[in-house]
Amino acid sequence: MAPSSGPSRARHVIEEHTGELAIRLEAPTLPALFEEAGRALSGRMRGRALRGAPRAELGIAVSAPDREALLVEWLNELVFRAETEHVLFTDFRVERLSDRELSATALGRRVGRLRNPVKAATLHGLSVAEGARGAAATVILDV
Amino acid sequence: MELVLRSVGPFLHEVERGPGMRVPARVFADDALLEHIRGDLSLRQLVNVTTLPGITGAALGMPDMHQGYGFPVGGVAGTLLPDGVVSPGGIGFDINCGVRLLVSRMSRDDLGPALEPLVHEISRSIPAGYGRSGRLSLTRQEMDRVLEEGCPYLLREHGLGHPEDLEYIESGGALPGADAGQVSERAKQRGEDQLGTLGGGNHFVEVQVVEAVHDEEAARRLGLFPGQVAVLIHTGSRGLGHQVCTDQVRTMDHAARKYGIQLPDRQLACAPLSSPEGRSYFAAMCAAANFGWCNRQVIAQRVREAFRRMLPGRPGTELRLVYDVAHNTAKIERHGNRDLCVHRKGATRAFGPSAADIPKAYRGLGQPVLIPGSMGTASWVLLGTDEAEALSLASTCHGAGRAMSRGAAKRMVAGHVLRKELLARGIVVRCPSNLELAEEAPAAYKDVDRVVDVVHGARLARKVARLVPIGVVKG
Repeated sequence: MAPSSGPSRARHVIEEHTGELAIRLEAPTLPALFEEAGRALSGRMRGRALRGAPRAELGIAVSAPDREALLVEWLNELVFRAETEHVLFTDFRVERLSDRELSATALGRRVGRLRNPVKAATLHGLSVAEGARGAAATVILDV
Repeated sequence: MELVLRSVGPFLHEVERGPGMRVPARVFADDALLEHIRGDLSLRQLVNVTTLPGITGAALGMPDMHQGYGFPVGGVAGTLLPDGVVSPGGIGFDINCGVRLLVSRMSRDDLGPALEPLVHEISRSIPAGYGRSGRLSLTRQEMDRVLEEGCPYLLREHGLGHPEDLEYIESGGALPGADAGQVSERAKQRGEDQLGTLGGGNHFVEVQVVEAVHDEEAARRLGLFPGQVAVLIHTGSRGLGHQVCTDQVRTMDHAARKYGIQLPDRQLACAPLSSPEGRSYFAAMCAAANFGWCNRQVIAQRVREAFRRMLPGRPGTELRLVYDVAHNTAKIERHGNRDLCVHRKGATRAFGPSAADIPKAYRGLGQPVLIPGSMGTASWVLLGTDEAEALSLASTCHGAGRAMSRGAAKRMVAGHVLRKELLARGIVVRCPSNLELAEEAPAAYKDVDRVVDVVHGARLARKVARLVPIGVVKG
């Protein structure tokens, strides 16, 4: 349950700079934070679902040496899947999360074309914090 | 803490030395460009670059420098071999993003009303946009040969291009250290159907006209004349390069800890080039660079075919390659009596007339440097100078450099209005979306002429010709 003084639901803000953009995330819990990061990415990439395209469901497992790098791995996995499978994932269920491992299900639809390029999530200016008021993170994408 | 700059030469400024800086940080700019540069975090990022183990000389910022991640875009750094580091963040995700200039022997008048159908045919021939697949799908074996052998393989085995093209591509379109075995299956998967595709963002193919010649003798030797129809291709190694960088930053993040390297920014993750991790990255980066050159080679072939199809029987339509330059690479180069790993992120190699590694026809002249403007603005052909070796490790700018984000550009410029404005100026535009057009509006970039004035004034390169677009195909 969300701490009363923290965010009651996950949210994000995108700050654009010249060649990259920062996603600032807040959520009541860390799993919700990772799910929101996935939604922020898909909101950025966008794309029109192909008519009649069935809903795609994909199990994703990533690992990293720490929680911050895990967020980058998660987003880069979604970038890779979107580009190679032409699927824009819009809904996420984090099923298992530790500081070094994440398992999740991503749901989306095939798209003819993704609108906005995202080359990768970077380690630059990266932060993930968890406290009594919930979880917060900043991650910078190269676009 | 605010960084203090002092002038140390023509258009050259140095950041006051602070703790942790192994070498100075220097930036080439005039007052107006310096104000742009001070408006973001690029100077701080340049200072961070000075902390890299093995860095020698200075961390250098080009006049089009802007904020990136790890290195600034427009950053140059040489590390001393064998044990200086190589950092994927010093090259960036779009490995061997670069520019290729082809010229016809036609003038704009010769082209006449054929321009619009020609631009349309080019846009039909080259898949554009993010993740778009091309017509040239590679088997895994063919992919590995592209990665290791570069453009010579495409020419020899697939007949893509003219044999003389190779002489006019930086490094002959093939870096010798490439090893396909160091490129992940994921990277190959991401790139397997992207050869010959433009990609999104600021990548483009433009039909241009030589508007003005600033050095007649140099222009003559490069085969340029006023009014000449030319084609400029700006793209890179696509998803393959992005994935190589993603994979290798992960490895380098671990390696930096392993080798006890303290970094002010985790995206500067690096390892000595002599280490297994350093060698692996370098071999993968070289392979991705070869893919980038091959991508531009295939696109050039499609453009040549479009010219032949749309202008049958007309004289002067065959396109000759003037040069192809990379602007996101690390290369092993000898400067003075030292071997360096020269990182150029958003910066172009600019070898002078004395350099051996330039086309025979350009010896004594200098390496052509191609500076693409933003969509709808001028592009430049420059020549490298011998002075640039001491000043900037034989490097110069790579473009106008973004001045505002894509979102800010879209808020400021309406795509449909921009499309009309370009059309009114006689520029044929093929771009699937007005929003994407607005993102690359000229107002989103610094003034390319000013940037070129600085590199000319600082003697990093010298002006030869200015080109303007008459047709734009955008990703």
